[in-house]
Amino acid sequence: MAWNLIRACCVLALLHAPQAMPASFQGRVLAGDDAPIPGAMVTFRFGVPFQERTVFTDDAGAYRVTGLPEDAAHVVRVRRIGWHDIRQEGVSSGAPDTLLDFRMRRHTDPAEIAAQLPANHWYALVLEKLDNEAHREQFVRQCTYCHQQGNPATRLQRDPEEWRKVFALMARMGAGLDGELSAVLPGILNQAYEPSTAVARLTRGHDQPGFAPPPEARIRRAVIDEFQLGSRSSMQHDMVVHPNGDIYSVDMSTDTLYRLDPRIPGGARRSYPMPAEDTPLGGLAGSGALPPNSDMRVGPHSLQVGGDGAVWITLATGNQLARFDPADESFTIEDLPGGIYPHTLRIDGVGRVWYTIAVSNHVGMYDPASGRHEVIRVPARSFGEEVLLRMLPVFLWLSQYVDIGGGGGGEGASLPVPYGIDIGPDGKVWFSQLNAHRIGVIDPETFELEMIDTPFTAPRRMRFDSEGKLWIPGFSSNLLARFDPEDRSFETMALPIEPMGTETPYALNVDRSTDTVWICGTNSDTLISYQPQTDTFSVYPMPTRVTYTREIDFAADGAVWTSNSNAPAWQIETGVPRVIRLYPEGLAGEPAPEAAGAF
Amino acid sequence: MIAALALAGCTDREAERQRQNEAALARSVELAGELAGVPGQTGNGLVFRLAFDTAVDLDLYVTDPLLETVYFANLETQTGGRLSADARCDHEAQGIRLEEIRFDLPYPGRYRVGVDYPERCSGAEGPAAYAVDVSGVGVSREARGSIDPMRFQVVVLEFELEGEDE
Repeated sequence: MAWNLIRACCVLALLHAPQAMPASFQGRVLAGDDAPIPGAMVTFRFGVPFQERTVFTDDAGAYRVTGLPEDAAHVVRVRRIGWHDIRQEGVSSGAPDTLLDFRMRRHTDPAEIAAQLPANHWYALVLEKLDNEAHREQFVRQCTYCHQQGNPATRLQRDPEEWRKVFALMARMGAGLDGELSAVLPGILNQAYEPSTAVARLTRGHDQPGFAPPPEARIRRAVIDEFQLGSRSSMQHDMVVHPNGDIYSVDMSTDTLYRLDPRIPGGARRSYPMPAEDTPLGGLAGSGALPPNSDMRVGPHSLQVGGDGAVWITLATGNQLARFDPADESFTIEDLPGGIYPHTLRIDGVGRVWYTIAVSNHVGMYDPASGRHEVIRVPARSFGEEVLLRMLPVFLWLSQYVDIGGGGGGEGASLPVPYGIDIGPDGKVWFSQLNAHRIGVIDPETFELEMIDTPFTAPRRMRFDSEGKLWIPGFSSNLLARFDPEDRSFETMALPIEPMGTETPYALNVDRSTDTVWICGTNSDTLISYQPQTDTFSVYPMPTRVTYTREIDFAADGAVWTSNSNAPAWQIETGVPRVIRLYPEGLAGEPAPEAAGAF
Repeated sequence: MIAALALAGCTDREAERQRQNEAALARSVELAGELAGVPGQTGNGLVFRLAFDTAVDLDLYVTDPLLETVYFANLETQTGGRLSADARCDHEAQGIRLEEIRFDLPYPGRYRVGVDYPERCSGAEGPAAYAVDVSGVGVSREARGSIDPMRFQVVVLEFELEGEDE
């Protein structure tokens, strides 16, 4: 009997142990004249749905990639701005450290080089033509709300009437421009994106060594994994790392919760349809416009893990909270007593769920232990705005029966939009108002509230560090801010993304083990870290073009996780969303690549 | 007294809305007939058409099996779907307006048709009538209805195109 018990335990241990991925490759990436190409991204794709692992070449052009599945047929891509992509299919590993070298060809066509640049480079051409600061800020905040500006799908020229229709459609989806900007923007966009001038501007000096320099050596130690999650109609809005190592992600467009186990080779995926009952397509508020490939009814938006391991989710268009139990894979739905569009959530130290309510300008609280709900009204900026907000439910009801006019949106009628939220070390609840350029704090016991103007625009998703300082990204102000709740002081620093002023940081998170701040490089296909102790920024380029990120989380092994949630997904290179894992220091225990290759 | 007046106002508006909707639905039947009278040139492809009156601007949306959508702001998809005829308020038109999306070599799979009513051109009030048809590669589908201003009917029609037997 004891022997049977031992055997059973061994079997159980084997079943739950991470499976080995023994295949590895190494080699060199060189130019035609045998010059090494440092900073090239070498990406190995495998599996269905796919997983990709990317490493960088060092100063000798050498790379080494490990942890790939044995006997898999890989698709390999080698990429470096200024050089033709290399794509090689059917690559399999016959032995550890299989030698695989590449020789790259330079682009000679400036248009092709320009096409390789991240969206923010093209976007800069528009920004420099907006000499009205209010217009610039409005354009940045509204037109990068859900997707990049300057990527191939958006850097188009259209006739003015078509631009007008596009602006009107976007306004109905929640991103409106005022009449003054709408009138001048078509001409500005068409001028900025005119290929005959844009390409030359963007590729000036492309044949010089300093053009598109490789990342620094310490950045090139990084290993980046991307896991396909969902389909071309998906929108993996947010993800979270569960303490048990699983990744959870909410697909807002298909009303699906995904679970990924990254320890299984290729990533074991499960999907769970959200209960939608009789909620109509588009949700309860009857959106005037919906992505045409969407099946969204309840619209899962954000998620966090509670102390008991359950996953809490805001259902934005269903006006509900959902609790997912990983043990029995069941959902419990909690209808909210008020407010419209539950948004970002955090869970405090006593298990209460706090969430911003974006459309109606509230902050909500739900205590699962007692069943108590609170919906706290956030002060409006003016009497007129207060009236508008209070009348919103009436307007939404009335719009079902009467055309209440307007193309939707319009900066003049923009809502303040409570957005990011976090719990301070003292338990107080801090939140941002994206369009009102303010942050606020709520006493969790008395619900008393205080608002604070930020000295920068568009505070978005923010987080506390281990010392109780609040870090805030300025979405339309291209900066990182540090706020001290004690003395109410702000310190700001520009994000070092070139061209300067072109980043739109959607969110940040703080690794409290080191107090390193990680920031979404949402318009530049990057993840950015900031180390306060050394005042050092580090910029990690992402391998996939059009990587639009909205949230960051951390795993116990030091990995930084995010997801690619550009909406629509078909704008993303390969057309599908991914969850992304970055090992900034590479994989633990891995030796550096050897410079010797087949060449 | 005030409540009674308000209630009477609501009742009048609801009655008017009902009348407008019935008129739009009746008009959609006429539009379907007119659309049927305009032959489409399909060749080997799949053709989607939307017919509507000149007083409004409606937009045709077709989502292909790769879940990418052809519409006025995305003129061509990876599967080759393209907007072959667009109709806007600033386009001259006699009779009815027609929008058309074509797939010359259609992929098998699910196709979804949506209709959006973003704006009136002139003089239009209330809901607009529309008619949709799909033809080619053995497919024949129709839909018609009314749509309110600033509303997007995401799914007017949806069907599976079977693949060829190998």
